[in-house]
Amino acid sequence: MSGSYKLPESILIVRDNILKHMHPLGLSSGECGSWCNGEPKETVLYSGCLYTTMEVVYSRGSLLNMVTSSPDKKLTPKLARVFMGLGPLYKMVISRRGGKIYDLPRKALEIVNHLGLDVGCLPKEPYVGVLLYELGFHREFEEYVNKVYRIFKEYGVRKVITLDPHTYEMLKYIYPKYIEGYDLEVLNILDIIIQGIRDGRLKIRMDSKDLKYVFHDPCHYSKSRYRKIIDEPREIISSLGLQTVESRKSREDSMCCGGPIETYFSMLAKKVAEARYKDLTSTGADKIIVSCPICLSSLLSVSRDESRIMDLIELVYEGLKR
Amino acid sequence: MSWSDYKKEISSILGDEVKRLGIERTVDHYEVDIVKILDEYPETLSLAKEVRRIREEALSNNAYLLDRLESRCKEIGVNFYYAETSRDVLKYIGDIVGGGKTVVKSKSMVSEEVGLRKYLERLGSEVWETDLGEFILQLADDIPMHIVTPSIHYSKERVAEVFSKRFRRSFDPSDVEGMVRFFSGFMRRKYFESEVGIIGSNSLGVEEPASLLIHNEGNITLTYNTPDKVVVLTDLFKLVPSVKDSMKIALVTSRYAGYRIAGYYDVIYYKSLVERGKDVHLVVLDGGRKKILGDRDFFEAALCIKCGACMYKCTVYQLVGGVFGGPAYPSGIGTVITSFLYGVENLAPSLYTCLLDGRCVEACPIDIDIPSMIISLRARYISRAFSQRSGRR
Repeated sequence: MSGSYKLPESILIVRDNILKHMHPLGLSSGECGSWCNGEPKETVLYSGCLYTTMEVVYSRGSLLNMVTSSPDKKLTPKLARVFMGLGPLYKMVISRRGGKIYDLPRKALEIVNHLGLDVGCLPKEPYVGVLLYELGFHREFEEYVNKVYRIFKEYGVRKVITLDPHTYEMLKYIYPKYIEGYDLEVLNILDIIIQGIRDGRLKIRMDSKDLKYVFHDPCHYSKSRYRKIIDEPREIISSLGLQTVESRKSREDSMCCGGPIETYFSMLAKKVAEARYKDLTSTGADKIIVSCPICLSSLLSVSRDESRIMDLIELVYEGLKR
Repeated sequence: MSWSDYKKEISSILGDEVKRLGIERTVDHYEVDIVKILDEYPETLSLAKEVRRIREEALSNNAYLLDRLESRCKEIGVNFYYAETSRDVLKYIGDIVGGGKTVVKSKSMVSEEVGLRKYLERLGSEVWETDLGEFILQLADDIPMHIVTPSIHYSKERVAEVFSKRFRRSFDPSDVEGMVRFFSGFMRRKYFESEVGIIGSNSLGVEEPASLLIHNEGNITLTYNTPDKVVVLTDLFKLVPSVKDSMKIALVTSRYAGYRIAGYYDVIYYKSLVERGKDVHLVVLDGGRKKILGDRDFFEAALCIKCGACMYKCTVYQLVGGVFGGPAYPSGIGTVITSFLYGVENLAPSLYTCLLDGRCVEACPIDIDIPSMIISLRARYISRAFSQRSGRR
């Protein structure tokens, strides 16, 4: 065998965009933080820009697919680079200021405020950098996360509440390996919601209407090497009073949504999503609950019915007794 | 493999309903069976932990065990050969076998890794795979897709097709037993004609040099008993201090491979083969494995006992089978191991196919953290890619 060191153009575009704009698709930190209708505080809710990003991926999937479906073809990625270089026009096409995924951080902020916590957010929110880490750009990742850390520090942030498994894993377990003197306290929204439910500050209830719900465990919660989060989402769902079923592949045996390889093997990623969707719906469940923006986008993209899939945050928001 | 060739292979298998259904049927059964087996034999879990300790210790003392094995082999009259590369293996075994012989061999991933059968055939010998799954692949000129169930992607209809083409008579796909009977009859003649038998090892105890082999068809027993010349082809990682260790490893391996108990567990004490007048050769391949042992980030990969559990449970494998991973060792763990055997630059598309979802880790009896190694390997690949082409952009 003889090979050479080649990478799909889409991976290089992602890297270049992160290094240049601090975002894989070239969004600005202002666009990432556009969901934030509050101000920076000592404790902030941090989305890692994953919700805004996945909203773009979901709603502009067919556009991005031109780049991601042909890892070897040079022409489409070249066009993509030109397109991305168009600045305002490009932004006009891809930017989102609303949508099922986009709206989740704002809903989460409302939930924690409802709990009486003094929580802010960052109007200029940096992307968390997870793709640099997972794709293997570790030298760049180290530089990048130190930059992100400095932004938190400049805002005077001491505690960060994360909403999704990837941002949680990054900030809680991976960042400390790359940042000297790292001292951010990292909290998970699920723990905060559960605490609120247990001490009675958070009353949530939904009318099941004879509908059955199935929870799709995100891999980086259910199979985490650091802290397995499996029962927590189920406790929240049962507090809502929803009728649930378990899928054939659930808890630590759960299955991926395909999202992680979407950047360069979009066709295979879609097959994974389809297989998972089939698995979840074959339980007889009417609704699928997820707890990760990547899972949400992946499953939405293979479902014909957008209302069939809901993020846990959306459910808690709906179930809030205001 | 280039990215576009790889993508073509992925598309091709996704479009091959027969292959996909074959894989799906096996993995679905496995997912159900393994839960039952571990439920019925809960002690397997603690035994698996012990196996991890055994293998950690053995691999830390690998250099000593290798020396010891060499001297023990000399004492009992076994020809010992340490092969640094695949080419060395081919040269050595090629010299022993020569041309014009009939050779029977059992399933061995090391032989796949070095391409032994085709090499011996080129030298002019007739070489037969005695494992039914491998035999089917030999006739179809295909490659194995799983280390335990190599022809996972073959339906009975396709097997009947392959048999009919090779033996110029028709086979009834619904009569699986008939095809198996035909195969056994065909193979029986080959055993008795055979001059050389080639086997592998699931584990190799060093102190009283003995291979332990797990099989379900009884073929391995005939492969080493019938011919006068026996070649044991194995790799560095299989060495453990004693037969007791091998037995524990064998039980854990077969349980996690999806069997309450395997059909056969052969312990072959080489000395007994020598005493019965056989010419016995033990070939131990490095082939890049020492690099794994010397690398803290990847040492865990060496612990693998090749039960195949992680492959059955892998989300990507369940869809595309052995297209994902190296040619002899599929899936995530196969991608890691093969990167050291063939060079990481040859595995890039597989390296980036891994979903990092961790199903393999949950499935692994000895808790090998495959996703972390995949990420480290990507980082290595990236840093080499850019040091090689710095200034490209």
